[in-house]
Amino acid sequence: MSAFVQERHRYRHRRGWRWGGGWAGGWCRGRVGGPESAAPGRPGAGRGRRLCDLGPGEEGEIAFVDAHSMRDLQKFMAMGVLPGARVKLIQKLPVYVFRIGESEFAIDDELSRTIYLKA
Amino acid sequence: MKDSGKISRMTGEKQGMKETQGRSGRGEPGRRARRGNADNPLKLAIVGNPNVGKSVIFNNFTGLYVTVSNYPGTTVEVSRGSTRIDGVDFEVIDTPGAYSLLPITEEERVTRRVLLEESVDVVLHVIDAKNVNRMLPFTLQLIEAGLPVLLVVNMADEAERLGIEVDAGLLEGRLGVPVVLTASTLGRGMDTLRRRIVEFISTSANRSANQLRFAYSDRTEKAIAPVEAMLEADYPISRRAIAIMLLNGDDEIRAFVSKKESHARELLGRVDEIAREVGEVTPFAYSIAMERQAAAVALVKGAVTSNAHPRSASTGFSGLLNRLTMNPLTGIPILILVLYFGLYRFVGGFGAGTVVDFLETVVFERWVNPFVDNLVRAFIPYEAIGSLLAGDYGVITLGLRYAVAIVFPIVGSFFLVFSIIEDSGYLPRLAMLVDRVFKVIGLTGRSVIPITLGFGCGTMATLVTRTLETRRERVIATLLLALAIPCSAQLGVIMGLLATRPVALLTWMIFIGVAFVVTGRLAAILLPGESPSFYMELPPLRLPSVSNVVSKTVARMKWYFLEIVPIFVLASVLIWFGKLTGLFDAAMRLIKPLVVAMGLPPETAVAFLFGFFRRDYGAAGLYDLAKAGALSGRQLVVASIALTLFIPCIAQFSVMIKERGIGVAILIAAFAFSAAFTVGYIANLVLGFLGVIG
Repeated sequence: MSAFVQERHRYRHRRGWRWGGGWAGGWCRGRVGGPESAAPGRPGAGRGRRLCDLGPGEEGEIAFVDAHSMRDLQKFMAMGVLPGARVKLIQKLPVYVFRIGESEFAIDDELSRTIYLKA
Repeated sequence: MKDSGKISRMTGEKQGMKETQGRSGRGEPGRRARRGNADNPLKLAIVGNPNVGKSVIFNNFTGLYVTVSNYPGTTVEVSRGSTRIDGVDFEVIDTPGAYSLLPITEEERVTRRVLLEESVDVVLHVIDAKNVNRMLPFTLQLIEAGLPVLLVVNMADEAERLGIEVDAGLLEGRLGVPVVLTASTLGRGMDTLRRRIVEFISTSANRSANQLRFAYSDRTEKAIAPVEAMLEADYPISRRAIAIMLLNGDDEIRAFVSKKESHARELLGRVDEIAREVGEVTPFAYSIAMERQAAAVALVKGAVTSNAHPRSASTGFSGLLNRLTMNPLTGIPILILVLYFGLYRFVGGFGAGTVVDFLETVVFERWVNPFVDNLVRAFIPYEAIGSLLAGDYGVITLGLRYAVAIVFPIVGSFFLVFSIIEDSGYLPRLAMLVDRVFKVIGLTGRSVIPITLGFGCGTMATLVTRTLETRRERVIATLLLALAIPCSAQLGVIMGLLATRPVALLTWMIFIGVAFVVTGRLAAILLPGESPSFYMELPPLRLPSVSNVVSKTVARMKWYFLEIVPIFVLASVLIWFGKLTGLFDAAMRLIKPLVVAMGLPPETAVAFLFGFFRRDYGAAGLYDLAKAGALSGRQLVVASIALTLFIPCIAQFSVMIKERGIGVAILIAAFAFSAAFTVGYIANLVLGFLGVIG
């Protein structure tokens, strides 16, 4: 396997992608979080409903986010996506749009998969 | 606030030893007393999230006399103006939108640099009255940094309409900084704001004593304390804030600190150790953000009350328009309409058509050129010098003519349209619509801004790629801008060339579109790294403000004339030199076989050669050939395709070197060179085989 393919492979794996996901796989596709999120002690271990599980118009309260990198974490902080905040999903296509407070944000599949909601 | 023991006021008496957390490094009362006059104005920085009305407040303060310039070493625009309030002179700085003191984008980095490096006297933190909860953590950060904060709760009118009430007095009491409620677009509260600013600077001595000091959880405080204690140098912001940024793993602050501290290595080593320890459960940056958010929620309780929405922002006509532009089913047709009317009809039809025709054929060809030619012939007997100024390739008759008559109207009308689109809040919607497609070519929706700007001026767009998150993204965007995005000058001429032949125009668009996608896809596959995740705030659409649009357009035009036109004039000199020394003929001999291989007449080589010096020269050269009837329809299309893909103009190339380094720049240029001729060759074969265009 070339270095490139390895890189690519690792990337998909880490992001919890499933090969053959894509449009037909439903919008909240892939396994919950990445493998590291399932490790004991990590917040992702509990699993639960995520932002991308909501339908348009549905609301939820954020339980935690399982950011994959510092950068993603900073993005969540900038948006005010923090535990306790209420979010309302507005649309799922072509990207996820949600309302938090009086602001609206667009995020991609990757980010929407890491926002966990209270059951 | 009875139950929030974590929040305590920092009083000068009780916690006097914490004085170092204030602005110890800046305490120069003697110097400050002399400031505030026209020669030495006080500095007032306006900071805050994007779309909270910072620019409106800035314009309200400064009026027309504003300079917009790139922040040193960056491409981020910072506007500066001056104002006088109650006999005190201020330099007002409008910083780029920032969400926190922990920067992600170049814009946020610039805002932090302004606060860190410019010893600002007043920081106006502008927040949205509708979203106090979300924006207050930034205020807390600014207070924590010991900055002289004055909180402006703006857009009070919109909040009222939504049934949200903000008790500024209560908030002021809790935060210990002045809080002013404004509705800047209506001018409401602006007089109060001015009065409070003057009051604020006159009480500078004891104001830090009143500022809120809130403590984090014990675990967090235990991490901060040792780092803070190890800091010895003087900083423009509090050591506590520096310690927190260090623990957040902020590279820029690390570099900043290691320049200042004598035992930096030891210090940073300790920081890493502590950050690793606390970060085992939750990353430090995240837990501190959560605690700050919790503090903000506690502070806001009772100070911001919300009655059930009488009328939500998502209803009514504007709400409907907001939804329509975001829904792909309606958003994409709207996008096409925006492009058609904004770009094709206004820039292409009006700017590149009507205005260019007038300036070219009337002003220059009838008046300026004959006049200059005669003047030069009469006074400069030397042919070589004369041809530098006048004649077919003269600096005035060609260089200036193209700059004023072709480039100015096209680029100007493009910048106008772009400013309108930008100010209306449409760009973020464009970004979200294309994100999925852009991911395929290794970019995110965010890159749609430099790419769109590239249709105006590739040079400016290449500069703007700096706002992209990762180097990989910046390289891909630079490559695509150099290869497949025609700038407005080029686009204008090509449109003019092919407008009468719809099939030819369509063919050109298909080939360029395919080249764009294929190249982007290849680059995404070949370049290591992954696409950053996409997030973007979608502000509500609003009617653009005329003054904002005008000032943005003027600022961009000014930049264009100061930065690009000189390079164009230089290019004219180079062309003159090249022709004089025979270098051009040599270069032409190299290109000619390639041109002929694409089925083009050998004379088109001139267009390609000039195309490097200025993209529009190339296209205009083609235009001249077509007018003379030297090209068939097929040749016209092939030449247009090859010329669009051909290496970027000299100005863009120099910016590519500056931004991406000489190696990447040369690679991109070499790729564009070969791609242009290869695609041109293929286009010629395909069109010949299909026989669609005669």
